Amino acid sequence: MRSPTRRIALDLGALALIVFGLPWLTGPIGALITPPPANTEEAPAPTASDSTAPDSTPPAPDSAPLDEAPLDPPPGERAPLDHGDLFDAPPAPDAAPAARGDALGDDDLFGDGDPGPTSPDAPAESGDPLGDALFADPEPAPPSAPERTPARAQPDPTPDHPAPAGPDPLTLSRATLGSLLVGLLTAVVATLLGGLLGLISGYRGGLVERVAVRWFADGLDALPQFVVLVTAVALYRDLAGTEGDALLLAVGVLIGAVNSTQVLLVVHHQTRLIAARKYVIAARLMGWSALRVVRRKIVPHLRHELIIPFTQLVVWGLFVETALSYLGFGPSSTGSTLGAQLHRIDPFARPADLAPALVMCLLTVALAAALRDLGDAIEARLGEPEPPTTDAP
Amino acid sequence: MTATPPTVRVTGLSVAFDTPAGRRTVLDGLDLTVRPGECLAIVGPNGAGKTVLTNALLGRYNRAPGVHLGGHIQICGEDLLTLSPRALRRLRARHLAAIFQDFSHTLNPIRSIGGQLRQMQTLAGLAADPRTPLARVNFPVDSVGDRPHQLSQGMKQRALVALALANRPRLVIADEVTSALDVINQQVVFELITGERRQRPEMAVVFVCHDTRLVRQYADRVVVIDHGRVVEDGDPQRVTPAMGLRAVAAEQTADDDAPTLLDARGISKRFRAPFRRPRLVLRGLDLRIRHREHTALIGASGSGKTTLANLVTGVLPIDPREADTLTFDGASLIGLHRPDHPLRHRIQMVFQDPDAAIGSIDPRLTVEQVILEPRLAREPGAEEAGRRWVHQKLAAFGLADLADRRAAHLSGGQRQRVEILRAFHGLRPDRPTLMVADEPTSMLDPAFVGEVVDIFAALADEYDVTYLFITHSLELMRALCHRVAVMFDGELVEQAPVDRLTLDPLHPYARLLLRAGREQREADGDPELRRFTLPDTATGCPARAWCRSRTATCDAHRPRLQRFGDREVACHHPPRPRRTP
Ligand code: SF4
Repeated sequence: MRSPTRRIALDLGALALIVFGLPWLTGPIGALITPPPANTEEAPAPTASDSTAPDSTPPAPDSAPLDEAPLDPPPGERAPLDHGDLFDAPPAPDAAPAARGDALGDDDLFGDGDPGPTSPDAPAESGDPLGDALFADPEPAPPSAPERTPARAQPDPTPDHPAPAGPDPLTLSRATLGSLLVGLLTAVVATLLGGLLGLISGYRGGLVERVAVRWFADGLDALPQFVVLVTAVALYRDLAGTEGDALLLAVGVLIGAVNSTQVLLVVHHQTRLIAARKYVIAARLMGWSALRVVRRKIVPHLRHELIIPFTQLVVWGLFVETALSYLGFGPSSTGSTLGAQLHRIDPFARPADLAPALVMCLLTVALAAALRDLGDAIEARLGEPEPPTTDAP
Repeated sequence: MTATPPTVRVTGLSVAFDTPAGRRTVLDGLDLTVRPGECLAIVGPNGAGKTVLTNALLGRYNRAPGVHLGGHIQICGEDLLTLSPRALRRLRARHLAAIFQDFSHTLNPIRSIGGQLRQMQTLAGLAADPRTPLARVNFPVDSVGDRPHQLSQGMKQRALVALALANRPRLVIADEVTSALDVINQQVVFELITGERRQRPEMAVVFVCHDTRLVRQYADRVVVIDHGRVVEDGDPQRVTPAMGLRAVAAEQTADDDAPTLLDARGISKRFRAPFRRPRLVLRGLDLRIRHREHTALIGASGSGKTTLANLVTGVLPIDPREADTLTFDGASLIGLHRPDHPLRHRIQMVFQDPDAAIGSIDPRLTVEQVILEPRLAREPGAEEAGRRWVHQKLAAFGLADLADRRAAHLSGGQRQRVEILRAFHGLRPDRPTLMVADEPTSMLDPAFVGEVVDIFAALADEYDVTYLFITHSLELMRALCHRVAVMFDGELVEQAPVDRLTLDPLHPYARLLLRAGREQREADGDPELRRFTLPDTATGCPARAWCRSRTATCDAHRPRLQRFGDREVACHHPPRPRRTP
C-alpha cells in the first residue's frame, strides 16, 4: 500500500500530464489510429496551407466542392477531406513543409519518425473510404451549420489560429484547464450554497426547511437540469452581455447553483441527524448560540459527508459544461473548454479531431481517482478519532 | 429426565474473527448443555462472548466470511455447524426461536400480525392458526388483522413474543431482550415466555442478561462466561444480588417546609406530525419539587417521562398555552430553550449515554475539553479555574488518567461519570439549581451503578442542587431520592415519599413496579403482569386494562390525583393506605 501522500502526488502528476502533455500527444495518437499513415499525414497538411491562404494554394480552384469550402466560415473543418479526396499524391511534397510550421506540430513528430515521402504509399486507400464515409453524411449540412451559431466561425479566420483540424496543443491544453476550472467552480459553488442552505434548513426546521427543501431543492430537481441550464445561461448571456471567459465562470457558477440541491439534501439530512445527538443538545443547554452550536458541534461532524458529493460534482460539472458547450449553449466562442473544442470541429473528419474527447475521457477518470484519494486522505484526517476499540472498565 | 437427549450440546466451541489487527478469538473451547425444558441464563462481563455464543447457536456464523469456527454444536440432534443452508433454514423454521435486543424493528410493518404469524406457522409446517399463539400472550383477538403501526407498544411486544413462539420452538434464544425496556416490560416478556413453558414443558430457553434480578427470578441454571469459556455453572440463587446501595439520601433530610423550587402545573405536550393524529404525550400534569428534595420520576416507557424532562430543561420549547404554571425558584421557565435565558445555568441535564459516537460526549474532544466546555460557556475566561476543577474532580472519582482520552476509549461506566461531571460543570455553584438525570444508570453494568451513585451523592453535598432522576432503577431511587413520582400515560398516578411508596404502593402500577423489584418467583406468575399494557384510549383510567380492582367507574372517568396525607394517588378505588409505622 502506498502512503496517501504518494498516491495523491501520483494522481496530481497524472492530471498534470493529461492537461499539459496529452494535447501534444493526441496528434500522433490520432495518426497512429488511422490506418494509412501516409494519407493522414498528407490530408492535414494541405488543410493548413489551404486555410491560411485560400488564394495562394494552387489546387484550390480545382473543383466544385472545393469552391464551396473557402466560402464557408468554417472551411478548415471540412477541408481536410476535400483535399484527401482530390489530391491523393500530387500536392503532398510541397504542402507537407507548410504544415510543419503550423498547428499540426504533432503530425510533425510522426512525420519525422516515418520520414517524408510516404506519399507513394497511397495504394493503401483504406483511410480514404473512411474519410469519405464520414464526410458523406455531413455534406448536406454545411449550409445550415454556419447559421446555427455564427460565434463559432469567429476564431477560424484569425491568422494565429489557422484551420483547427483538431485543435493545436496549446489551445487544447488551455481548454482542458478551462474545463477543469468549470468543474471545480461547480463543486465549490454547489457545496457552499447547498451546504449553507442545508445547514440552516436542517438546524432550524419549520418554514425555512419547507422553503429550502420542498420548494427550492425538490422544485429544482423536478425540472430537467439541462433545460434549466440552457435557459439560465442564455438569460445571463443576454442580460449581462458577457462572452468568452467571463461567461465561462458564470456557467460554472450556474451549474453549481443548479446542482447545489444534491448537497443541500445531504447536508440537510445529516444536520438533522447530528442536531438530535446528545452532545449537540448538551451544547445548547450550555447556553451556546445557534451559530456557535452549528459551527463547533455540527459542521466538524459533517465535513466528511461532503467529500464524496464534492468529488462527484467536479466531474459532473465538467460533464455538463462540455455538453452545454458542445451543443453551442456554453461559452463556445473562445473555445477555452473541451466542449467548445468539440463544438468547433463539427463533422468529425479524422480521429485527431476527437482529441478533445479523448482528453475529456482521461481527464474525468484521472480526476475521479485524484479526488477519491484526496477524499480518503481528508477523511482519514477528519474522521472520528478512531473506532471504539476497548471496552475495558 | 436424564435419558432424554439434551436440546443443545456445545462441545469445544471456538469462534474467532479476522480483524484488521489480526485474528481475535472470542470463544475458546466452550462447553455447554441445555436440557429440554430448562431455562438457562448466560451472564458475564461485557465482551465475554455472550452475544457471539447466541449468534453461533442460531447458526449465524455458518459459512460467514472472516469467521473461524471450531468444535461442535448439536441442536435438537442436528450438527449445526455443518448443516447446509437449506437444512439450517429448516431447523430454524421448525425448532428455533430468537428474540432480539432491538424490539421495535423486528415486526414487518406492511403485514398484519395475523399474516406474519400465519407465515411463520406455515414455514414451520404447522396449521396456520394465528389465534392460538396470540391468545397465549393475551393479545386481543380483534386486532389480529392490524398492522404493527396500529398497535400500542405493549401490544407490539406481545405480538413479537407470539411471533417468536409461533413455530412451537424447542429452543428459544433471547439476547438482552430486556435491556431497552423498563422494569415492568422486562417482566412482561419473561412472564410471557414462562407462560409458554408452562404449556409446553419441553421448550428450553437460553437468555443473555445482565440483570441479576431477572436471572434469579426466571432462570433454572446460570452459566457465567468469561474470556470465551464457561467459568461457572450453577444455581441462580447463588448469583450475588444487585449491590445493595447505601441510602445516601437518608443522610440529607428533606425539609418539609422547604420552599418550592420547581412548580409545574397543568403541563401538556402535544406532538404533531404531518399525516398523523397529534399525539398527546403529557396530559395536564402537575409536579412540585421542593428545594433539596431529590425526586425520582418512574414510569413505563412511553409514559412521557423524557418529554417532561426535556420541557423542564429547555431541550424542547415550552408552548405557554400548554402550561398553566411553570416556574423555577419563582422565575418563569418559558423560553428556556433560548441560549440567553436567565435560568440557563441553573438547570442542567445528565444524559443517558448509550453510545460512544453519538452520546452526550463530543467524540472529537478529550475528556478534559468535554468537561471544561460548559464552564467556559458559563464563565468565559475561567479556563484556569475550570481546568483545576476538572482535574480535581477526575482525581476524586478515580478518572485521573483519562483526561486526554476521547469517548471512544472510555467504557460505559467511565463515560457516564464523565457525563455527570460535564453536566455539573455547567451549573452555577452559588444558587439553588436543578439537575435532571435521564436514566443515568440504565445502560450500566450493575457493578458500576455504585460509582455513579457516589458521584451524585458527593456532588449533591458540594452544590446547592436538587435532583430529578428519571429512572427505572429502584436501587437508584432508594439510594438517592426522598420523593417519588410515578408516571403512567402522561400523568402522575402516584406521588409519595420513597419509603412510604416502597412499603405501601397504592396505585396498581406502583404495585407492579415494586413487585417487579422483589426477587422472588411467584408460583403461577403474575396475572396482572401478563395482561399489562399501556392504554390506547384516553377515556377512563389508563390502568383499567389490567387493574384488578377495576369497576364501571374506572371505564367511564379518568381519575385525578387525590391527596392522602403526605401522598397523592390517581385512582377511584385505592387500597386504604396503611398507617405510618
Ligand atoms: S381507577 Fe380503577 S382501574 Fe384505575 S387504577 Fe384505580 S381501580 Fe384500577
